[in-house]
Amino acid sequence: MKSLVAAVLLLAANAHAATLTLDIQGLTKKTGHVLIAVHADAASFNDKGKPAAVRTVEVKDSKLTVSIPDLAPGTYAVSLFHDANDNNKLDTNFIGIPKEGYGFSNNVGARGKPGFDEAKFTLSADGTTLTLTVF
Amino acid sequence: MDRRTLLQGMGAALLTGCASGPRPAAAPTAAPDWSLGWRSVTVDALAPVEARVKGRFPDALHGTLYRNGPARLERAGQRVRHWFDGDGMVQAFRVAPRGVSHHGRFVSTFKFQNEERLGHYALGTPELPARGNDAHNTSNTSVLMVGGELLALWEAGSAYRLDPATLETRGTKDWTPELTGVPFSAHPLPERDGSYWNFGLAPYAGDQGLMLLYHFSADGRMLQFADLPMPIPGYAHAFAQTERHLIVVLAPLLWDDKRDMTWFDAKSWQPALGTTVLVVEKADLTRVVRRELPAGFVFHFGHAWEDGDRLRAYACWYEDSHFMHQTLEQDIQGRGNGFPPARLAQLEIPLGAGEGRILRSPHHAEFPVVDPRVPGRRGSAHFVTLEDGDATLPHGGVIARIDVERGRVQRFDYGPGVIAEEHLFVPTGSREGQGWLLGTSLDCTRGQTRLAAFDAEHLDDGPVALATLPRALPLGFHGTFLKG
Repeated sequence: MKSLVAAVLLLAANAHAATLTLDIQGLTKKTGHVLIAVHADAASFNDKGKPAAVRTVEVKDSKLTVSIPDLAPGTYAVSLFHDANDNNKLDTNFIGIPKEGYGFSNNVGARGKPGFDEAKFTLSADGTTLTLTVF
Repeated sequence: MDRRTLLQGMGAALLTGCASGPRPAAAPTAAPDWSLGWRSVTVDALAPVEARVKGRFPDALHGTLYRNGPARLERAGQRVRHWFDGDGMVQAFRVAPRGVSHHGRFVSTFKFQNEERLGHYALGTPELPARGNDAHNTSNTSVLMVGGELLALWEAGSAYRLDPATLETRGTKDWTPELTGVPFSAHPLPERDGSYWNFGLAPYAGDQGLMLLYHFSADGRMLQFADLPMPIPGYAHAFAQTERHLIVVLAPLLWDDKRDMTWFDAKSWQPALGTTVLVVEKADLTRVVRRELPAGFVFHFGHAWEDGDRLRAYACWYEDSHFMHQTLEQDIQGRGNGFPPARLAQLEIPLGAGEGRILRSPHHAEFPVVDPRVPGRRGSAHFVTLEDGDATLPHGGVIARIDVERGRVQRFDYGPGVIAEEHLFVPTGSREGQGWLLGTSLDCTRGQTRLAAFDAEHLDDGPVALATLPRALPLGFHGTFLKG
């Protein structure tokens, strides 16, 4: 029974699976990890809900590529930051401005965190590739 | 060489305010090229050169005058939006018994380094993403020796640390990890014990904007730090101090993130709100009172003091914020742009109830410098650049000592074609205002920057020494003198 459920779930996933590919560039330090979250709605984007996917990727170069498969086609927004010192948080200064790299889909957010609507994009059924530049 | 010969040598015509000055030789026939003041330096360092010196610089001025200012104002045919956006270059004028030399170097900021590499302005584009205030830091406003390092000061981010001998950039001044990249004004004020006060404005921080207050030691340690909500997201470039208070005067020039408006947008000027004054107790930086003044705009302050139930502060008072919205072309036009200059005025700020007042003097003045031996107390002498010359010329070369207590003005006119810059006061003796004045001017006819020294009590006698560089430097803002 368990395997049947697993098979059905797998089938369902495959039926809707789309791959989001992120080309991330502009990393200024070759240390730590990039923490990536893919949000399906504004609640998740604003830290009030569960992301559709999260990834932690080691940084060894000023750019890297991440593939996130098995997402249902639809509307998403990506947020990420470069945890260069691996302390599991985006370090900020006293006035709340990040001291580590960060980025959003559509490359918005140069002057502060954007809204979900500014960062949202459509993941198509045959996959989508985004280029994200880290601020 | 006597002063008469010196003045003749200047060719500084005209010296109309200079009783002892001779009628000069004929003024040069070429027309002044005022744009020299805003011309870019296109190399990253200016190698040392010797100046031609006339007269003798007094021993008290043997040392280095450091000055900062925007010196790169265009790249690849594109000009900066505002003079204040130019990349900062620090100039060092070394005054020694054997002569005067000059060298200069750009502050190697993130912005300067990367745009030098790219060859064009790119900040904020995918080619050069900008994170945080220091990405935009031009480090172009002033300099201050702290802890054996020369700090190149801006106002919206970190100070940069420079090697005082070579002017090479060592990095940002990170007072503490959390203060990295936080606004830090270019006008720290000296306390009597040798420490300094400073402030910074972050109108975009938090719910209401934050004013940051700093108290740091001369050897470069942060002694005390506080933050206060901003009652309005207004602008201040410098501030004033009395014995017991810090005074921050917020012009009704409102930063508005939601409308994407910074202090450089003309629409940010909201005079109906009046000017907001924040009076902070030095002994307890959380104790603040808010007072109102009529709408106006101030870059720089002179003497300020406690006067019973009120504070008084001299300032160069503009009726509006036009200077923040001028293009470089309008800067070059000078008086021709139609905007009135600042007026030396006394701000009267009640500590209790009641409205504040602006008591305007007749003197159009900027770059006020006062005797540092009377910080926070009632003083008289203000050394300024004065706008009282030939109104048909775009720029003037007049400096003055205005004794506000006695209503006395001494002036010296460098002559037509010359733009006078800030002149610093170097004290000697014991009287307030007794000492030397040391400052630069740009001769836009001959294409030369000069350094002059004056007896601060006898400005109208003209300079006692004048050093002429074989180069013209773009106009700068503020400096500091280091003896030795």
